[in-house]
Amino acid sequence: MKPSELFRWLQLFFEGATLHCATEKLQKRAYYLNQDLITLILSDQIGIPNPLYYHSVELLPYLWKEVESWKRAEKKSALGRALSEFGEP
Amino acid sequence: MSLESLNRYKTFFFSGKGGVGKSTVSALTALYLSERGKRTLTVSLDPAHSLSTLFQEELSGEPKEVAPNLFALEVDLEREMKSYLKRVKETAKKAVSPAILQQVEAQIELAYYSPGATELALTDAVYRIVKELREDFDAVVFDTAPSGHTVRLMTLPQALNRWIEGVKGLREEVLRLERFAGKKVEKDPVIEALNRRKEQYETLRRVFQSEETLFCVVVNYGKLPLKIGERTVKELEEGGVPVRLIAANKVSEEEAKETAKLFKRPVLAVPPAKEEPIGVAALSELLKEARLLPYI
Repeated sequence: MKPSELFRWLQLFFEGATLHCATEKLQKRAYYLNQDLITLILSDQIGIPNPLYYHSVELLPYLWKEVESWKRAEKKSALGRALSEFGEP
Repeated sequence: MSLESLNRYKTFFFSGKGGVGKSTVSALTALYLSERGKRTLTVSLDPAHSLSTLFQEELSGEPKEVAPNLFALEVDLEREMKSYLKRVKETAKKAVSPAILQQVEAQIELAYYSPGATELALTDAVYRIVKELREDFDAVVFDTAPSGHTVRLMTLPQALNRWIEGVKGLREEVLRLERFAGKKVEKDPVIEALNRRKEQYETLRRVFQSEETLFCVVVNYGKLPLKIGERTVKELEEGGVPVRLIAANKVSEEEAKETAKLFKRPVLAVPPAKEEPIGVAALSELLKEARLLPYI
């Protein structure tokens, strides 16, 4: 194995071991922050009125992908988290 | 003391309980300014428009000259709300797949009836006038909706700004993370939309708090109107909007003096009109009787 090949191999190894995992973590974090953003805009759907809905509605067309996953998954858990803070089951 | 000191202001807001004569006082002020050679625009923000009747002219959303130098328009809030939501739907049409468009549109339509929608639409209307028409006129007089609405409208920009900052912070963090994860992030339409709103709220805050803006609460002489007037003044000032003038409509000289003492502010005193002040000629007659009492 030539030294340059070895170097390339090592580089790929470390990239795979560290960077990809980090990428995934970053993406996950971004995903959840986006979900929080949707919670702020659509808070009405989990029982918290949003007096700024009229102005924030203009953001929805750009965030619809996020809205769909929010409706599928986050809506319930955001509500659950909110309720658990007040001691509900 | 004549009305001379009104001349140094460029933007006027008249607020007060329903039926005290906000529109009449607004019209009188606008007429006064226009008679002094100032190109003046009167804007009615009250859904129960009365400027058309006062000036005896059919008014619309665009300025119409009702007397020399005097222009007037009436904001049609419902129409403005509908056209705004239509624009949002147009954006959705371009941004999402046709399969789910209906769902997105339904979510957008909810905004029409959402709480706070009217107040926010009012801030849009005021902003549009400030942005598009301000430069064509020397003075703009806003005849606002009854008390509660106005107070919320005027104190909104600060609260709105905080909200924008929060949402923007979240979104910026998202973009930063995505960039780190190797995603190419170009101009983000969400941040752009938030920046536009931020600019709007900032502009309004500057106008509301400007030295060249005069806020006036209109009252009648009587326990209840005075009490509500006092509350409006207090709420506005707590929201960071100084009230520099009280207008007492349909009052005697004695009552006007009492009002000045009660509010500790100068009072624009308008005596009861001999006949209903409808039309520019009648308003002009009444204007001759109006006095500005200093607060001593």
